[in-house]
Amino acid sequence: MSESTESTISKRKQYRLAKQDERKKTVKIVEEGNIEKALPKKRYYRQRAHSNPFSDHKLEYPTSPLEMDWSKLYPDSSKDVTIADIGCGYGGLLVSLAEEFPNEKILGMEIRVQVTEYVEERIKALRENNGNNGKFNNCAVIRGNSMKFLTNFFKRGQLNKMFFCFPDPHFKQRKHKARIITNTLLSEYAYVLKEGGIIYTITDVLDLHEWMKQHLDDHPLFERLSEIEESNDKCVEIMTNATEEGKKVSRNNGSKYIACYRRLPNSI
Amino acid sequence: MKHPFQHILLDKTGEYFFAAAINTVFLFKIVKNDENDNDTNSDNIIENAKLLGSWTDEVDPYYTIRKHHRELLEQYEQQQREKEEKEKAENELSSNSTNENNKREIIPVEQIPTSTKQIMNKRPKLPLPGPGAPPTYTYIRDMTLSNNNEYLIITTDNDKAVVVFKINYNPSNDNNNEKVFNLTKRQPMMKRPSAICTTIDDLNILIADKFGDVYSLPLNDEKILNDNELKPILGHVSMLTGVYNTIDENNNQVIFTTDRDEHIRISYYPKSYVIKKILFGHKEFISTFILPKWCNNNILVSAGGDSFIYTWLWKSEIEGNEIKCKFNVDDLIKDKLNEKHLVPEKFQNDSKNLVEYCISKIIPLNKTNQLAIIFEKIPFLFIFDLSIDGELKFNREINVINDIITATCTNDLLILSFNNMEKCLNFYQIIDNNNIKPLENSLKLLETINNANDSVIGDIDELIPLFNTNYLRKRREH
Repeated sequence: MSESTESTISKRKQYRLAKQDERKKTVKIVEEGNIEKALPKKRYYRQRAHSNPFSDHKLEYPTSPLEMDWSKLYPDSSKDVTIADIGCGYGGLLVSLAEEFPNEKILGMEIRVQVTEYVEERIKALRENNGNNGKFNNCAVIRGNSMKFLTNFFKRGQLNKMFFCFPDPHFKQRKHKARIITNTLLSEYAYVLKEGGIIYTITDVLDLHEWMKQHLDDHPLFERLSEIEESNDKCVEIMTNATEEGKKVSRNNGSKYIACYRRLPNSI
Repeated sequence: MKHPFQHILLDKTGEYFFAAAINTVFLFKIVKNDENDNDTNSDNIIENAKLLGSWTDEVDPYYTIRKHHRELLEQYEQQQREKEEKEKAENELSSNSTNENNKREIIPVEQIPTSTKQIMNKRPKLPLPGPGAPPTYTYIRDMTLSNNNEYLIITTDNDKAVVVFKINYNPSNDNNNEKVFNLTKRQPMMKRPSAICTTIDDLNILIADKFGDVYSLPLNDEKILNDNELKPILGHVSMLTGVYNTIDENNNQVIFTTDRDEHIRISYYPKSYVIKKILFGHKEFISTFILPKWCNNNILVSAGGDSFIYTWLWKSEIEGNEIKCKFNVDDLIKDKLNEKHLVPEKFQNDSKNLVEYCISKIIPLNKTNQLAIIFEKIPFLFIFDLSIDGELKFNREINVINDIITATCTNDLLILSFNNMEKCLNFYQIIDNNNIKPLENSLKLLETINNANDSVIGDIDELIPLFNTNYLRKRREH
């Protein structure tokens, strides 16, 4: 391709082509150990990477957090969910967090139906492979639109941690409201996070990183963790290496941009 | 035929009446008969109305298209300039050295900017709508008065603008140049405004839009802001249906916002990034809510697309415990539903008898501590008693001539608007709890208003959308 036609391809398309090339290199997750029940195969659950968060999907969500029946998701529903992985994708982070925090309850939210089904199967298989000894009982996934209905699931100050890993970059200016971090949505995240709770963000798109940082910096209820805090946080390590997207970026020697923010007290 | 009034509004004194038909808003002074001054028994009787003035919106019907076109043109020209510069630079470069770089260069991901504008090879044309395109409307979508009664604020459909007028209620008869509607600013918004109000102190206008964002703009400042100067102060990811500013139990200002996804949110103001609480209960969109005066700001009443009218003790300290009363209106309404309430074919059941209804407006009747409730496309007005502590009780229904478009009310006077050529408005006198009677001798009043209305259409097809509420209903398809 000559230099001049190169410039006529949109930047969005270039990004997409780059992604497509990556996908051709075979992607396999190798699960360790002696596996009895086969883990679901991702190739049967593939779905377009984008979903319109503004449309009225057929979603199930409780009328209020008090009406949420968590027993469908967790064998033991005595404790509240404290960690949320927003847009959990294929559940790599979710599963790693479940191992890292056996005493906390973790929920993955994903808007794409097939992908959610994959994660459901994955968790089911992991639970069975551990002889149903309780391991992975602390993680679950639901299909949902967190941009619209997050507050239907979580009470004020319920969460300790929220993860936003490799979110949809929504390149077009017009679509920026569809981004998962906006100043108005941050107020909702601040509402469900307890004081001192942490928002974790990671992306391989520099501009999105700048965008997220900008909005979090501007929001009066969030404060960035120091570099030392960020590098000492176990979750940062997990988030960088455990997610499927993260692994993919590593394989391609891509960059990963991280920003973590602490929920400050209200000042009313 | 005369176009009916899609919005009507009595001012706070009850002496002035605003009515909007298509793109014109009229202001009338309500004339009372004071010959009965000696008669201590009766109030002054409303006799007639006097047209004080009107304002017609003459915005370009293709405003949005032209604006978009202008942006495209700018983009195109910018790209042309960049291209020329690049070519120039390349020519200089290639003359100096041999260019081996003919292979496709893979741009590292981090160098791809987020604002990927489409590259245009041709100069963009003005995309005027073809013959099959849906109609564009230039009409007044909503109107409200500032708390001090001085400003009228309307929202428009076409250019998605908020238009502010300072109202001169007493134009002198001698000076014809003295205007009643004094336009102070017209602020186009990025997304169509769906609800507006002024803050308690009337310093700012709060504008809620179809995209779920709320903007705060100074009421008095005539400066028009550009798109990039407009920053939302709070937002839902759902079309907003209402916005209201008031004071909470701790004397903090709060903003109520309601949306199409069943949420009633209460945020602090001006620290609107702190959500005070969310009221959960509705199962369908919320179309209307009020905080009746006689409940001392303690009670919120809300309704919309589900079968319940809710009253909320919104200040309740125990979160999730705010519902005071949940009134099921199914029994009141089920015999009054007709073919207009059938669910659209695409979502209909096999026996084709699925119906749906919604409440489009709640009007507080301050004199009698009652609520008048309008159900969309049902020719009845429903009156409820609402106690000071939020107890809701059905009182009675009033049969009216047509489906009610909208209504407005002051202490003694209730006005309903209809899509009816002979009687586009109905006037009611509020006497007491059990007595709301049609205003006697209202013919002259109606005639004056009707004659003043110069919004004329040739055919019924040209009516602007009058019954919009049920369109808020979600059709969950996938």
